[in-house]
Amino acid sequence: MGGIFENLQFNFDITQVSITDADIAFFFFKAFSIVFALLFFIYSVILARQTGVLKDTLSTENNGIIMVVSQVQLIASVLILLYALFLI
Amino acid sequence: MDQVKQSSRFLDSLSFYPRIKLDVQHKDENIILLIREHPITQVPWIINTIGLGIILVLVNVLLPQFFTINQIIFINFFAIVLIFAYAWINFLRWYFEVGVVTNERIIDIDFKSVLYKEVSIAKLENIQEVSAKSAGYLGTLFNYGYIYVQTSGADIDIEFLNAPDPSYVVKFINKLTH
Repeated sequence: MGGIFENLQFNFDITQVSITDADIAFFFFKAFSIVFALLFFIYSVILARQTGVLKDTLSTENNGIIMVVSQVQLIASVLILLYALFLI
Repeated sequence: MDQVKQSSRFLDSLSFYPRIKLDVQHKDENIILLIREHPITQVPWIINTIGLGIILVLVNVLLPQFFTINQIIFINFFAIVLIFAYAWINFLRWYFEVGVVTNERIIDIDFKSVLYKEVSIAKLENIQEVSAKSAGYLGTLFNYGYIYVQTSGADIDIEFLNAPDPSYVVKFINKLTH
């Protein structure tokens, strides 16, 4: 049993790992960015759906523009979430 | 009544014979008047939006000392979208919170924080009294105020807040009901 593992060498030394203040700040920035981006995305989805309800309640000639703007906000919220997840 | 011409533009707060449709509208029901809050009452949120934009520009002077370029781009992008969202929800509330006078009924559509819909309806024949009240100094200066529609029977009372030219609207509704 011991024969399988006896030649394995682990070069990882926990004492050599150093976490700087900048790393901690980066971690918190990333975590908060994702949380807030996610909350804003949920808000944008709800608002886009609610805009549909508003449009059905009161139909005007300009409802198309209003729906487009709501969709743009939703797309922006998706871009922010992707930015927070992958680019920061 | 006969002198009233059609006037319906995108951002009108008082439109006669507007080209709109309501989901609660009856088949032969014609919309005569559309009332939104007076535009001057929307100035506070417009000023807030501009103020937030200026704060964002000022904050950008300090950001490079604390954040990387990538983080600064994210902060700016997020802040711009948040400021826009604030302005947009206020615009939606103003645009869709309307009072409507038709040839049959008076309809008040309210959206609490845009999320909760409340529609109050009163039939013209049930209207007992329509009264107007000026909305303070600004209301007197810019000619806007409150309109109260008292009803009898099962219909609930209706009020239009910050309506433009309230005395004219009251006169107009009174002509319809009598």
